[in-house]
Amino acid sequence: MNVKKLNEAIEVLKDDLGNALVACDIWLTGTGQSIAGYNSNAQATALFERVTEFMNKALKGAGFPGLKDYYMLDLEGDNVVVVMQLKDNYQWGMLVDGKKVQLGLLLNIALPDARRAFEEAL
Amino acid sequence: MWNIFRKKETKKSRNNKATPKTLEDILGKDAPKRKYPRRLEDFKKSPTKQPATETSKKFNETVKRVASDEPKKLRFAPKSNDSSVKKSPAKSSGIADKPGATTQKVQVNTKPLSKPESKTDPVPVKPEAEYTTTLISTVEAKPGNTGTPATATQAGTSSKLAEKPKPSRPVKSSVFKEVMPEIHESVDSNIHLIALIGRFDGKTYFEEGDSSYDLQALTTLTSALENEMETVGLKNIRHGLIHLDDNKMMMVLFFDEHFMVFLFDENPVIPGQMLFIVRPRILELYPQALI
Repeated sequence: MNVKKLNEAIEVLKDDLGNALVACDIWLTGTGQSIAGYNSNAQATALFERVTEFMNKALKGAGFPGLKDYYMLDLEGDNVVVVMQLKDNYQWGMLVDGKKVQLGLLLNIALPDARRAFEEAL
Repeated sequence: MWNIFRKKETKKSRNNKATPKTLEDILGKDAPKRKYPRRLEDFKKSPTKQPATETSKKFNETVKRVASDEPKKLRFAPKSNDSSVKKSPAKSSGIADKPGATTQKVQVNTKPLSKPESKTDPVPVKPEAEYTTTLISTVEAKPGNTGTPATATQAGTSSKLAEKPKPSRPVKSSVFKEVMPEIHESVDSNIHLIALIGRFDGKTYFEEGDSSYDLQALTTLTSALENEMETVGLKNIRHGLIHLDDNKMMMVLFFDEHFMVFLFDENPVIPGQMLFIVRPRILELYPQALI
């Protein structure tokens, strides 16, 4: 993992989302420990690791297909949490201000751009 | 050129450098004897052992106990693997003083953080603990209600366990049935499943489409999600969009007492259609459907 490029990937996301990006963290699945981030929140990282695990288990338990690219949770107070599932078992969680970004921009531009930038860092 | 900044070294100052004055030179014979640096012998002679204080005694006891491989009895140590509900007469504490109160063991969903390496491993790390709790006898514990708020009031603590479980409010499924054709028409994708599930009881109140899924398993997910969110200060999930394998997506709408699941094929326009066409329609219908 090229940490410099990983930080560049975060810059790409910051550029795309502007001030709508409140915080983000990249971590390796199974560790719950951030390796790069912006306004990092170690507690949130550990908890979203667990949320992903819960989600995978529940989906499989219910007979649904497994988790693929991302999941997005729209919360009270216009907070949007997006957790991307990345290559090599990495995850990228981000807290976004839903008022300041359009959903189309988030799902169709920011996330694909961030994913590409992350893959360059691998 | 830089030499102009350097302090000119005189003959006098050079002499001073060569023979630095000692304390005795300055103060004469009255100068106090140097105490520092102390020699190794000084340390050996001086009594280093000070009388043990209460704190140090306790610390030493703890060290001895840990070293002797005899773990102190954990306050909430698991008594057995039996997760069944056992009732016994109430102890005198708080709620238990009320007539008819009973104590009950409640299985708490805490997974072990790591398994002990061997059976002789002294300290079990976060086992599936059974907490002894105090209950009012009118509250029944339902063993099938995994992932929902437990039916117990944990003695001496305020926790989510204190919430009394209730079945989710019944709904008129006919209200949703009527709009299903409209919903299917309003999206450019196959909707494989639409289901309304009780958040508290996991019961399916309305279902249309593929019925091969175990929808009750999702109840655990929703309550777990909420608990986790609250821990990091985020509240009330309004909806979730999940990208799944096999080119499928799922949208989950969260209501006060129920949640609604939509499973559909993925395409570029479907997230928008589901979130901005289907969701507002369902939000509009839900209050009407409640009995």
